[in-house]
Amino acid sequence: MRRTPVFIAAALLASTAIAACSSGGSSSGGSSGSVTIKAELPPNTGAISAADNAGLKQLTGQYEAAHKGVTVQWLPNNTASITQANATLESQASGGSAPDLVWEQYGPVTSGALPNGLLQNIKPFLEKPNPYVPGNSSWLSLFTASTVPYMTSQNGDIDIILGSNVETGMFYSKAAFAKAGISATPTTWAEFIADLGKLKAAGVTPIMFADGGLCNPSWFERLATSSLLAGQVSQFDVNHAQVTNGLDVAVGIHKGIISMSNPRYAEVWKLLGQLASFSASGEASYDACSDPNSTTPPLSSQSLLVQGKVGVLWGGSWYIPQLDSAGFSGKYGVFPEPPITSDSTPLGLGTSTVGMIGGPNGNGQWGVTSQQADSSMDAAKTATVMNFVAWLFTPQHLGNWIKINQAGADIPTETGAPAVNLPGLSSLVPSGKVGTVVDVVLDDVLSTAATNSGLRLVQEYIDGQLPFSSFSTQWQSLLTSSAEQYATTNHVNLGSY
Amino acid sequence: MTMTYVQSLRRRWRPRYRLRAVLVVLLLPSLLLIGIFSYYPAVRSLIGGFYQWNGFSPPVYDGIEQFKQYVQAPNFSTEVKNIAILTGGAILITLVSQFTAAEIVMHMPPRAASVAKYILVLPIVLPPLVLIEVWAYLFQPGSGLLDKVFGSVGLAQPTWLSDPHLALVSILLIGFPWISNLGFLIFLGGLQNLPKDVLDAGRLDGLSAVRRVFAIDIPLLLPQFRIVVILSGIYAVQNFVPILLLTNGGPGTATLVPGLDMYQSAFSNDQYGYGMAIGTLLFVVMLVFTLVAMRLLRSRTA
Repeated sequence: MRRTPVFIAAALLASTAIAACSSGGSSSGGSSGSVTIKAELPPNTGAISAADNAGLKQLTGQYEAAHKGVTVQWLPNNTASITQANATLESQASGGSAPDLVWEQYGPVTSGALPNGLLQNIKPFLEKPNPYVPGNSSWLSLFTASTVPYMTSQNGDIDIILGSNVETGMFYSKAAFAKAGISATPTTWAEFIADLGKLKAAGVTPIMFADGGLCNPSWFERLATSSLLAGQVSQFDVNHAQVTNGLDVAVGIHKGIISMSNPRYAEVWKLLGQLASFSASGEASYDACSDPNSTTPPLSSQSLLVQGKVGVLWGGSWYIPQLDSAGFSGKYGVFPEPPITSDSTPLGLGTSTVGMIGGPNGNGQWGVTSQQADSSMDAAKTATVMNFVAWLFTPQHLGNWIKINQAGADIPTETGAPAVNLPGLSSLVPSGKVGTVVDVVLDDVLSTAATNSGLRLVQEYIDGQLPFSSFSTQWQSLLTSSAEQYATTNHVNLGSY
Repeated sequence: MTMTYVQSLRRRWRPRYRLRAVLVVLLLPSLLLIGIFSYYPAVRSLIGGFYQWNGFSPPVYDGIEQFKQYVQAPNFSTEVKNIAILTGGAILITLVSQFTAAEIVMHMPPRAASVAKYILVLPIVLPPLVLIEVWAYLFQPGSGLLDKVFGSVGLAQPTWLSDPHLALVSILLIGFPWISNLGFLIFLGGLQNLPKDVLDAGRLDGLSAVRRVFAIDIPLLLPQFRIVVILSGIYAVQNFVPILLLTNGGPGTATLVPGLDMYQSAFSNDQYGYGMAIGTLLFVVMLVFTLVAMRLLRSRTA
């Protein structure tokens, strides 16, 4: 009889431990009439109470007041990188405990890098009117023409909604340009390289090509590849979208167009070698997309421009408020990436590249999780979540919260949404239709593994550890293996295209 | 009422039996949790190396292909070279700095030794991330303390973490002077327990301090050296956090090590099976390293 309590205690302890280990963190469902939407905030914006999220908080409060029984629980999103965000999401999804509305980047979603079935196809909702826009016939029609292709997956589904754009350009120190006797901003890539030479001759370190992160390297790849392959893109652009996706690129590699044996493609990397020769050393310590307050590498390169250590930085529209707050207001100018013409290389086509690098931004990129990834999700809850998203994506609302969140450095993706008119910003925005954007390796198109390996190769090439011939061999090997891997993973027969 | 032999036996054994039962019950939660959180993941990892798995879709059996893939990968030789340098360097600087510090403290006046001991041991409580953050500041190009010092004496300012020839050395520099660690305490404890008669004999023989270290201290502290070598070796192989935070394996592959490759394969590239294969290989290598170290540094004394 004495043993009984001992065994009961053991059983209790064991069952408690098992229960503790097996319990997931599933979101609360809506079966009781009340719905709690678990939503991820834009990355690195702190909690919903943070100043960066004041616009979202305000809109959420208004929505909850108008929709009794619906509560939105915003979750902070402290993400160091896209890859980390993906890993976190996949980890949560594998346990069925992902949030309902998750932050994601369009690249991994539309390219298929993120596992299929993790996010829901929200196209049926977007094809209907946005209920908060009077007279609207289709929610999709509110988005700018260049935005929809960014949201569309290979199979035509829309698994992600995009709220804001950023644009990129060359930010230069007016003092440095004056010292080098440069009176006008360059209009061609050849002029740009010549200006970098003038800066160097004047004793100014011309540029910091920051390759500690993906921004500058992937921007260059996108810029030069889109430009130099503009005449050949139709041969592998089987998806016919604004931006080439994994399938397009794999087909291009299979056909030998995206190949180091294609002089046009090889020229992309020769031009990078030319640009990198003007770069300050220590490129891997910096990332063009790092927070200016970051103290852990890769650091922001903005302080180099502010301190007069370099003449030019390749940055984005978000630099404008950041440089201004660093006291550099009025001391810098910005110009869009100049086109690569035949003055730079006989293979140059002079294609305008304005707006090719910019595009959807992290602020306002969301996907709705599937029931497999989020056990609390069902049809009714999906409808509630999308209704809340429709509220956020009413043009007036979208413009307001993005303006508050990003001090106006981001440009809303919907027409009619109010935006701040910051000096210099307008020159970075494309005035007409943007040509087909060719992403290859460095933007998570084929796979994250390929992107990581590609960045390492680019760093070694820029550092001078790899001469062009070795870089070329290894890059080609990466292209071939990544395309094969893509075809295997996605069950695609590349020979059929 | 006479107690039979069996009753007597029961009475004698019952308390011990009850104690064991209580011990088992008390241990059960710990065993259960260790099983779930330590042994299960380890075993799962060993098995996982044989499967292709992206963390979401069902795993696909792949035999030893992922092990072969890693060994044949272009970066494999670089990773082996880097980890060999880091591990060898870490063991060397650990042994030299911590043993030297322990010797110095051991032969200081008692009060000074006590103070020095606390000062040297206290930084152990510093979270590693804080230490890395401090070194991130020290290494900052141009504005970091090291570059400022170099600049102030007219020397070129290196880009510590982004120069491919310096990056690995910079990683080794983290934690300088490398004293505040467990090894220091192990050596100090060993020195404090050296047999007095042997030390007295050495003193009578007129051994100098340096001769004493090599003739008495080191030979008698071989068990401690063995523990420190094994612990610091395993730590160097496993600890890719400074690399992850400061260089991410770069520039290029200048600081890429198997641990980081394992982490990135699994958590960045969604190649969980491949990551587990690397982890399994690392486990085997560390096991061999441990056995070799135990064999080479076995005590020669009875």
